[in-house]
Amino acid sequence: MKNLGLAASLFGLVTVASGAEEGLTQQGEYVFKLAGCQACHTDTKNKGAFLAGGRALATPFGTFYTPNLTPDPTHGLGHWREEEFARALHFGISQCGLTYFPVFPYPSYTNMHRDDIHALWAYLRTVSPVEKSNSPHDIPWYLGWLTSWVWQWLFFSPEPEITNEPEAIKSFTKEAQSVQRGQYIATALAHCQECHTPRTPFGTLQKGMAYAGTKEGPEGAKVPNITSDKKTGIGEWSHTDLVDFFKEGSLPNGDYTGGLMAEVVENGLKFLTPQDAEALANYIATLPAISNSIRKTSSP
Amino acid sequence: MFIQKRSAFALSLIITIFTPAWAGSPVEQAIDKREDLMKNLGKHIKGVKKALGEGGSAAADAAQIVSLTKTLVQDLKILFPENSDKGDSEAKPEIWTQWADFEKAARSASEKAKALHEAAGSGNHEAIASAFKDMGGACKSCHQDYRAEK
Repeated sequence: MKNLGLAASLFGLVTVASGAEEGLTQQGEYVFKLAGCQACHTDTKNKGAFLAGGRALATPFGTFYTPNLTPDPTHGLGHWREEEFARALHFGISQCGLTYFPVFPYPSYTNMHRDDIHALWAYLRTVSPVEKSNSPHDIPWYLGWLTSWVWQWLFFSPEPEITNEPEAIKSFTKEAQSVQRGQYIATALAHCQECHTPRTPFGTLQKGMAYAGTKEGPEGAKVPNITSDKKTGIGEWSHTDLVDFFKEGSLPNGDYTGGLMAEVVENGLKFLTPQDAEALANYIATLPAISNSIRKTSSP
Repeated sequence: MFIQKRSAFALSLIITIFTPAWAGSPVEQAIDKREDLMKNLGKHIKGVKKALGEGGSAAADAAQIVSLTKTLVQDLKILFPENSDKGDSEAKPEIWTQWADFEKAARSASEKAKALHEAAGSGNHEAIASAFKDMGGACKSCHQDYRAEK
């Protein structure tokens, strides 16, 4: 009878543990979607396997090929430890200690809470491993590891490591808490500024032009101004327009977004919880207006 | 008389030189035509969305969407002639390298538009919303592969 009781308690513990683990991987999958990992780390165009890397990212500095993120021990993250993964996201340093090129958006991911990194790591361990080797980048000879190290030393400062939302936020009004959450989603996870902010010749984001759009975005695409400027940005969009855009990719004029942004919606933003979609819309609406015309018309 | 003849000649010369610029090349005309069609489509999509949000019938707008997507499928080659991704256009070159898939995507949008029209006829709000979402998904999916961001 005693043994039976012990077995039942152990069974209970195992059930609770597996439930907690499932909750963690679910949270990780949510972070994964919002952080847009799939779009870059899956070579969809060439029907590449999920997260096996190899997508070509054409930039003004050359073409970068994304690495394999599956748990494959040879080519993927199979031999990585969670601390190394967290260091890559937070400090932009690889497993072997080299600095990453900022085409990997670690200057944004450095804002990611440690709890979210932990969950993301747990989710990535559940992905099927794919034995696919990584392709070398197609970049000029002078853009080696030393250049990326110098770039990091000159232009990057990691944010303080935070486990979760700071306690102080709890004293904010509900609206302010929502904006804060939206800012976290936009900057630390979805890294919106990486595409929507023009860059300097050194590849850094132009100060004073946050979210003002650029004619030289990823893969040579034009990226719209999403500040609250009424003529050249999205200042005329309502709160519902923004939420609908995240959910469906629909624009206020009845059109639908295309290109990379459609991928962002399809693989990530459409999975936002209603509360997070509201939060992101609340934050985007606060972006200070910057006049910067990207297209011939005022429609972004 | 001589002056009149010279004036007529000069005028016809000017017309000959500048006519292509006024009328636009066939490619430019195709770009204008398809942009008009898409804008018109957007107007009626907006109409369905409004009907869904505020109540009222979506049937008339849905009928227009069916008609426009039918034209899109029928005139696809005229609206998207080769090399019409150059200049003032957001079309991607993949349209012509993956023409069969592009054609399939246009047909899919047209089929989804028909389903929306049927749902609009039923007046069932949930059915209209679901069919509208499906059609929007088809538009977005095509834009994802074949059009630059907007």
